[in-house]
Amino acid sequence: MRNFFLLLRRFYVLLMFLALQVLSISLLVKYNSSQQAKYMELSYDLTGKVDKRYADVTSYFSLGENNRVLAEENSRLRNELPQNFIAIDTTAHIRKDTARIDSNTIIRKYTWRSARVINNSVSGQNNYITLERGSLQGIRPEMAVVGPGGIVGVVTDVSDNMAIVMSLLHRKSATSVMLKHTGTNGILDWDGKNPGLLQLKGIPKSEVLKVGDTVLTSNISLYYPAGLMVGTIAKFSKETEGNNYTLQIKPGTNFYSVDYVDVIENHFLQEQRDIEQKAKKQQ
Amino acid sequence: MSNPIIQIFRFLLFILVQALVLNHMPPVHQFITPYLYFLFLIWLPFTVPRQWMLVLGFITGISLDFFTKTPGLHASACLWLAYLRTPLINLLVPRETKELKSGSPGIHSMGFASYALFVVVLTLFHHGWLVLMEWMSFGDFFYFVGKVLFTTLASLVLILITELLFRPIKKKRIE
Repeated sequence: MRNFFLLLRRFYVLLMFLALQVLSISLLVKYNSSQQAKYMELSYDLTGKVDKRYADVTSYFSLGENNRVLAEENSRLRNELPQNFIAIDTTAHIRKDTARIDSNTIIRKYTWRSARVINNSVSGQNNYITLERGSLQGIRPEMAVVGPGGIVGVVTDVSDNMAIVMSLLHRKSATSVMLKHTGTNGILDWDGKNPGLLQLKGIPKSEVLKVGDTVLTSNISLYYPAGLMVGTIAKFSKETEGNNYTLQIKPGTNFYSVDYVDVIENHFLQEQRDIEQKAKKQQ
Repeated sequence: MSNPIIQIFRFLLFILVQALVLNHMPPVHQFITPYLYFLFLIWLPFTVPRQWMLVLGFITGISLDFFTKTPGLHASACLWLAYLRTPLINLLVPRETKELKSGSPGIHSMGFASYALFVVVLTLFHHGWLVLMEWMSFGDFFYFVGKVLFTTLASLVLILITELLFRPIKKKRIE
């Protein structure tokens, strides 16, 4: 017994090093695997305040760019107003129903909420974005996040006033997208190398592609509404084996400067999950 | 220089500069993310006991982790740095210099060659471990080596600039 204590005393520093190392690696593995780590909530409150101050200062530098983007978005939306279209047949006129809930047919599926970005990274292998809106303001995990240029990511963690978004620049990110002109579905992910290029897999070689073709969110995506801008094809090369292309996609969002985003809630998410789960069990 | 208040101030400054400036810089290249915050650990006095060195390393790393949302990643790399620091000092620094209570690693106390070696070895260990942990299963070996080397180079340039700015070499008076 005495020898044991002597041994402990002798390798005290080494043992302490090993213990702390095991602690930090287990934190890392646990956080990455579960994505819903409660112990990080405390740190969000602490670093969130610093991040907010920082975003207050840096938002001035991108005011011009933000104005331009917002003006573009406004003009795009104004172009879709019904007043811009005339019916050739003078007896008919276009009416657009603006009521959100109709007792007969229309039910709201998606709700959009705007949020400000207060922290953002592009330099790591797994990048996260912090939003200044949390569970008290209606944000829940698994909501989709979209910027003015295109989709940004999915909410993973939420505290009272902050939300953490797993950006598309994350090694575990996988989004179901489609080509605009044919509607072929594929999976978009990131290899962790260049923050300016995402990878699209699963597009068969029979497709005719051009550089610059648009990629949109697909109709079978669980989080995103269909048809949102994702990016454009930057490069394509046929894989040496197999039937599929590997496409390099230039994202529509500029991840270096995301300032304001919209968080989209899918009201049917749980219902769809439940019914699919049921179908799986019956098999 | 071993005044605890100065050290705490320096700790906060390094973490904030790393989290708010360096991590937000648009990357020069996909290989390069400059790191500077661990200079706080390198600049600690010689007399810090080894177990406290480990605790300080862990705290430094985990505080940066809170900003980058990667709990444990930088903490783990900093632990390596903290663990290897004392044996390296024992190798490189003569006993007389260490007994000066106010001494801390630097160009005056160690001489340029040994201080440079000290910094390069610790930086390489820190970055190597960091990149290895980030790429838990690194497929491409040359990508791994390249990233470690270039990130180390970028950090060393930053460290050199910091050294020259904040701890200039005093000229010896010629009599």
